[in-house]
Amino acid sequence: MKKMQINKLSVLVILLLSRLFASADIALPKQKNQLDTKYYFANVDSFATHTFYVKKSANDKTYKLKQDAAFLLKVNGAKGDERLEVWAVNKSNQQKSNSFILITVKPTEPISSSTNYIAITFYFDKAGKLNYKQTVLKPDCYSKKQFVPLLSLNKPASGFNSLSLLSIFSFLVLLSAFLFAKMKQRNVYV
Amino acid sequence: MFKYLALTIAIEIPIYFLFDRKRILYSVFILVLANCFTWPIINILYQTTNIHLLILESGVTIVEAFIIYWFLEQKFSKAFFISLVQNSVTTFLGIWINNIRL
Repeated sequence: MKKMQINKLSVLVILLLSRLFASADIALPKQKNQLDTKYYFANVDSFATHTFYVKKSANDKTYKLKQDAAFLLKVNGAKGDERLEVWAVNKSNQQKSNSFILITVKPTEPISSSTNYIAITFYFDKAGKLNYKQTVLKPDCYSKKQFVPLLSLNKPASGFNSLSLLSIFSFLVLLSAFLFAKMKQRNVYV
Repeated sequence: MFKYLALTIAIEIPIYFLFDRKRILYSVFILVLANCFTWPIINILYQTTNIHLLILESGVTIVEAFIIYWFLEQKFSKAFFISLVQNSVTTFLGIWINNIRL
């Protein structure tokens, strides 16, 4: 009778805890693949007949583009993932072109910095539509073969270091307990 | 960050006691250690690799089954079953309630 009550209580506790904390074994939400991305506008001066504009979603402000202007898009900005809307205006007739959106992108290298660097080159296609090519810029760190430690004790892996240490510590305690039990067992037989 | 570990332990320990209620303190100690060992590993792998969550959970299930078998002296089949139930409950309830796509 008492056993049945304990069983029911256990089930109740499990269900309650499961309902409240269901994300338990999912644990930490998966980080996004995207990285902060810095866009450079490389050939603005090549189009004397056009003025280029950029609207940044982070602050809803519109900027007039200058040669080599750069904009950093953050993955988790105040308004979520940031984006840039880009368009051109013909100086002679003030006609606005089509616009395009630039967003944060995935890392371009397996081991990269925390920011992607991309150069944007404008061009107008045969239909007069504004288009662009993007070129991934490679900072020096991409080309060097760097030593990657198995367990880094520096940022950005600091969050994972505490996890690694906890895991290693628990493993060592379990191993010690296992060896201790084995030794004790052997002593009993001797 | 460790809130989730505490929650995992809080769900998995009562499940173990549905199957066995001997040496309660020792069992709690071993189960806490087992989770402290496997939870960081699954999180690091889940965050840094593309390995599917269910594959990672399968690995955790096997490791925890061995821990229950060795330390809590259950038959391996029973240990595996307990571990499977523990990890299935926490994983699938999480997926279901949080609408996570597999």
